[in-house]
Amino acid sequence: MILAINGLTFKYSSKPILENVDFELKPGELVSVIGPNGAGKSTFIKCINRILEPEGTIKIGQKDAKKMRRNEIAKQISYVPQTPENKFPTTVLDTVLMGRRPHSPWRFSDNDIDKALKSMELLGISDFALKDYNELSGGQQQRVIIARAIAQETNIILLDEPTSSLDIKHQLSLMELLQEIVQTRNVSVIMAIHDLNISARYSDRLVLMDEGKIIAAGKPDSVLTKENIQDAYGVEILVKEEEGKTHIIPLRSL
Amino acid sequence: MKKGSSADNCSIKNDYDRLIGRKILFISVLFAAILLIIGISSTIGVIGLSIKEVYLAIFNGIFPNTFEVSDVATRVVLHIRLPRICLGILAGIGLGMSGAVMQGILRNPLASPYTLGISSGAGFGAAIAIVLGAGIAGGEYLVIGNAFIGALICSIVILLLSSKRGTTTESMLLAGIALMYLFSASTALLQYFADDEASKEVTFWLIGSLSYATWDKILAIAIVIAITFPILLWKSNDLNLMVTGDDTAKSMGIDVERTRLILMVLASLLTASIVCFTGTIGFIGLVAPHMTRMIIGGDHRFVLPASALLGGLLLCFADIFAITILEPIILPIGIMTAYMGVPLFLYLILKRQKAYW
Repeated sequence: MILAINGLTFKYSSKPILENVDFELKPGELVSVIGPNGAGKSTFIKCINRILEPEGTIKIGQKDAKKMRRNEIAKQISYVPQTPENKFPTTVLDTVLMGRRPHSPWRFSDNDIDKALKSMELLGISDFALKDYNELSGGQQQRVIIARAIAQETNIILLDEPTSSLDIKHQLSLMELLQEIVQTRNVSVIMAIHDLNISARYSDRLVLMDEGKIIAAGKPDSVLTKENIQDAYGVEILVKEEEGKTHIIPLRSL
Repeated sequence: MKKGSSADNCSIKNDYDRLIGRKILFISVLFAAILLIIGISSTIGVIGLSIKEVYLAIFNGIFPNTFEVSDVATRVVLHIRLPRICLGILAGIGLGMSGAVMQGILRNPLASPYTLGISSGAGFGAAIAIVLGAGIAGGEYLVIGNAFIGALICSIVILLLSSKRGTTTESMLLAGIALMYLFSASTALLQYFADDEASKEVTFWLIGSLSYATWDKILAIAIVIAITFPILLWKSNDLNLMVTGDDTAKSMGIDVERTRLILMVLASLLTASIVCFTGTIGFIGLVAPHMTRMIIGGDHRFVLPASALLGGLLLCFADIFAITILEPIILPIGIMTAYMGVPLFLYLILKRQKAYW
């Protein structure tokens, strides 16, 4: 296991957002966290690398995350936020180079720049290298932030709803890319995602959350059942198999 | 996704190196311009001096008896003109730097020592000293001491707010604006009940002035800059990440709360140590970082030194106009920074509309 979480609990004021969540991650696994709005998906993602400070135990490799320094965690886990922002003019290359900060705190070496350029090449954004990040489209910005996470060279990448601002073509190509990264680099990915069909198509495992708890986890076909989706979302669905993958067709709200 | 990339990494790297080179060149040009303007500015005044005489007098001040310079030139340059110029440059450097840091911490191009209420806090402290004669220090340090404490009180309130869990950068800026109004209203109240002379003195202090420059004051500001600048520069790359959001910065290994506290304390200290000597010099802290970012982009490793030097240069230019425009009357520097800065600033914003508004 490269990540083992036990009894994860997080509260805003006294309101529990996550309650007693257990989770394990193997190397080279792509896991999607699904669930309705307010289920605690994003909070769960942010607790893993201590962006939020939860109760419970998190083991990264063999180490207790609570005893690790932030920089040490940043060398193991990278994070792609839901709404990447930057108010000030910054080139795409400078944005990707930010991913090298855990390795080079102040000055970036030639090696850092090479790694940033390679991850930009992988994401197909080399042509924008010296353009202002703020001048790019939402989809291009998303790719820049993923390139930054790859340049960070971590074992685990966390993504918070990475497909939410993308059109269908870009959603598919992003998922294909994540799958490729997982398979070729032995990196593990955990992402919060709303689209159930896309998550089922590309994930090794799904985790269904509702009201801060995991209510189902496992292979997509075992999680995306009529009963589970009705319990979590309050909707009636039809489950179909297409090209060996589970697909759902939403019918009506209950 | 790979198919989209055609540009050669090597040529991108070369272009990037050239971009960095241009940023370093910009900083070097600003530095050279400041050295040049010190000389030009020192020639301006009732007693006519050539640039050569001015520089020789300055060198003689640093290395005594090296050159032959008239006593008049030495006295005028070293004891009258240079202190004023140096106070202006150092004040500009400090305000330019603290403005850039505050904008970075609050992720907002509207943040500055002025909009965060720090200058107004200093103004209120000074007004208490002038109108009521009450303060923590005595003699000539009465106004300075009060202004310093006023600025720090305002900073501490903002810092306490920022350390509260869940406080957004927007609410910090709004709190600063609220404090600015509170201190301005309190100062106006003091002026309302003050006698004419005291009220006039408060007004004079509030618009800022370089007229009471002494080498002691310059040394005090120089020491604060010498302490704060290396630490701010050391934290400048962390500031780059904090600009992209707390969550991202944390995920890159930065202790965001601690770094924000360090940066805010240093920027506040820097502002307080300047405005307590010069009064409220608005606009430099806002405009210098903006202009810098428009020219060299937003990387704080370069923005901090460049904004500092640009602030010094702008303030020095404003001072030249303040001295010469209605000669022999010397206008307060705070008025000139606004009159010169606003048109320049508006022009730059309109020219580069899509930059970052």
